[in-house]
Amino acid sequence: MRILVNEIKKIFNWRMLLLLAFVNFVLYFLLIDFHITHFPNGRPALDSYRIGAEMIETYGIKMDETDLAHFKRTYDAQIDEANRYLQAREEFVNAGMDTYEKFRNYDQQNEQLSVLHAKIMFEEKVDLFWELQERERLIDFQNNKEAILETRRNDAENESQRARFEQMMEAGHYQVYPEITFENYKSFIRNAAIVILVSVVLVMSPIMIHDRSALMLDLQYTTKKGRAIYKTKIAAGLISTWLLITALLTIYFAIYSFNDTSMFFPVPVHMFINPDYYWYDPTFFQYIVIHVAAIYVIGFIFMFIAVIFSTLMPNYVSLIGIQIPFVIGMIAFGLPNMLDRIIDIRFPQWAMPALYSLLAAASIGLAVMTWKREKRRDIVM
Amino acid sequence: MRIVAYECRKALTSPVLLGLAFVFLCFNIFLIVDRSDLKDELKVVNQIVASQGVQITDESLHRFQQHLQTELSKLNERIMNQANEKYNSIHAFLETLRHEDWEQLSEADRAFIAELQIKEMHYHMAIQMDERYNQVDWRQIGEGEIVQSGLSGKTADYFRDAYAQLVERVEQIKLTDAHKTWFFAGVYHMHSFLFRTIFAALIFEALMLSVLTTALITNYEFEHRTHLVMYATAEGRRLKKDKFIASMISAATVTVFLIGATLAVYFTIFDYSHVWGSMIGSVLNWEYERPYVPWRDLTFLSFLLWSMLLIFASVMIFNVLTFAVSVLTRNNYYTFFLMAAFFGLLFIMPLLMPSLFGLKSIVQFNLSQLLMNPHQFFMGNASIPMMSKHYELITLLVWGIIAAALSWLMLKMFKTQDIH
Repeated sequence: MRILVNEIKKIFNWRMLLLLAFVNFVLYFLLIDFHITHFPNGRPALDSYRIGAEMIETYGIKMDETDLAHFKRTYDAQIDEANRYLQAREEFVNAGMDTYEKFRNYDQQNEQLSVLHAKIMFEEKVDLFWELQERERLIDFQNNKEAILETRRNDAENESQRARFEQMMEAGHYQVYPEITFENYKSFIRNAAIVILVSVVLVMSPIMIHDRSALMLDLQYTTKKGRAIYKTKIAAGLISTWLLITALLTIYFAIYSFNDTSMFFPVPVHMFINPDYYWYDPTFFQYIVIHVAAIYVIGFIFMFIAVIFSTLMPNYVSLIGIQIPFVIGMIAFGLPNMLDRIIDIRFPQWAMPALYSLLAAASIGLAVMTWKREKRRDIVM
Repeated sequence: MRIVAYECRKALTSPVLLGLAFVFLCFNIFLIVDRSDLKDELKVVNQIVASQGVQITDESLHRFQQHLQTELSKLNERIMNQANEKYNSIHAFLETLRHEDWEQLSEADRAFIAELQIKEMHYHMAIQMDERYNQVDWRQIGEGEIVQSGLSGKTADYFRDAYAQLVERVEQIKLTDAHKTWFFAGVYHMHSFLFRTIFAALIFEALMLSVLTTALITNYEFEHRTHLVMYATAEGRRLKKDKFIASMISAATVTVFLIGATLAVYFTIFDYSHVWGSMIGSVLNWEYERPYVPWRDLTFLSFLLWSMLLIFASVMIFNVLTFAVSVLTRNNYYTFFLMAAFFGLLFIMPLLMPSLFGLKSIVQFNLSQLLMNPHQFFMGNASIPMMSKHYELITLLVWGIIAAALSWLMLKMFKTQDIH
């Protein structure tokens, strides 16, 4: 037990913690910061976010026909308001832009009208007009919701996809809610996963090579505990990886909470307007939980890869060099599929669980093999 | 000298580094081959240049138009002789062409049509783009950029001056017709593809490999526990200097190999044989909102060579910095991640700086900002700080001096340092 604790302390030595903090600082600003400070990013993103929050408050997590009618009535009421707004302003009446209809379909070649239009939209940034624009877009989607899903069903690549689309049509799983928070979350988690992946590789890679290059193995392997210390080191690695991922997830989700999106959490993911369709119907919150679990699994897979190469590579440069293709490959090709599309209908239903299991089994299997090799290895050169 | 060679051998024969270089090269080749469907269309542009000369003049345009007309009449004869219609442009022909008719055409006819279409597109582009070139109001763009970057006072004046120089430069280009040369049309995005996609990949790969080789050589003795033998005497400590030279040679070798091999593949696949002498600021090389306006008249070839030199110099400066850091940390692992994070830190500097005294613009004069925009080297149409006329030179000089000073300091420190 004492050895285990000391091994963990060795992994999280103060120099490593400083480097970890520095790397995370830089990566945060490179990858994550934008999705936090610029959310919602300008107009009409802000209006989309506001309307979405309002819709959840009024209609809850299911939007039936009466709700849709209510949404349209709100839109009509806002048009009346916009008409009154325009009619109350002399310059707009004089220019003949006295109804929202005229405002919307203004002649873009006409300079006077363009200036007036820009004045409301970009100078004064009147919420009402931006909101109307966004509501229009949403109503468009709501009107076409059946048609969109039908097209998807007709374009289905195979029987199981078709069955899934039909099931969604039967259950009335249509896309009606604005997607802005969901898209923002997806960008956030993809980048957070990159940061966590790099952090795990950074902290775990020296795990075996450190003692070996310090010629400690001669001492360690001749003690009573002997080569079993290798297993203790792996255990220390597992615990440290868990600690590291948990700490980083906590920090980054705490930062994410500034986006204030929790009201969207109970909404099922199939309700967001979105080109993606899923095999299952988790809520937004459950979807986050799936991602968190996936990040843990990926983190542990890369810990095992680090253990393997840390045992096999002759020096630190080789250790880093050999892992670069794995990490870059994972970031460029792995993560976009393994996170965003973890329950995506584009892949067969079994594909993602199978891929995760395969990667996990392969990395653990290879780690066991290196342990077997370590048990028999001649340490006297 | 023999020691330097032995030190180089440590890095250049390391199987992992060689393997990594090989993987990087494969990746670059993959990037290139992925776009190779364009290569036949680019050949047509070479044909144009071969027959019309690289300069676009009124006379050559006229000649080109006549050539197009004869080609068109051939088309009318060959393909449309059964129909009575005559087309005056391939565009009009293709618009009326039905899918079934296209299916019936022979392979040679289709190739002929495709070729003619590309020629016609380039002809129209040459005329249209020239007109658009004259309409770009750089002064207004400059004002817009300055407002957008939130600059005021002296910094704003500095960049206003830079834009005034740019306006002058554009006038000069228009006078000398330096922009009127044939090049692959902007729709192919060949400039971005080569100088952004491929070069960005090359830069990252060269940086990673150079950091790894330098770290490997510099800290080899510490890592292999031979430091007590090697550095025990004053004479032994001089080994560090040899290691410095060796790391520079190794990094240079790796960089030259990567760039050379990748570009060799690139130019084998894509035919540039007749456009080497075309201007990089050609009106046809207009990919996004604004055309490329280089500060000097650069042909494609000279732009390519200068860019390669710039990248090589930057990688070398970064390598000198790496040397300083690895002497300081004595640990390859920390060296690599510190350098990687440092590169990122330089890149986010403008984000971290308060918008006071133009600090945001000043900190953009750094290596990583320079290297992240290889398609904008020597260009006046770049974003605010990079549009300063001597951006590349200033950045390289400043960072070269910083790196050299640090390395010298570290070498001096190392002579008297406690090594145990």
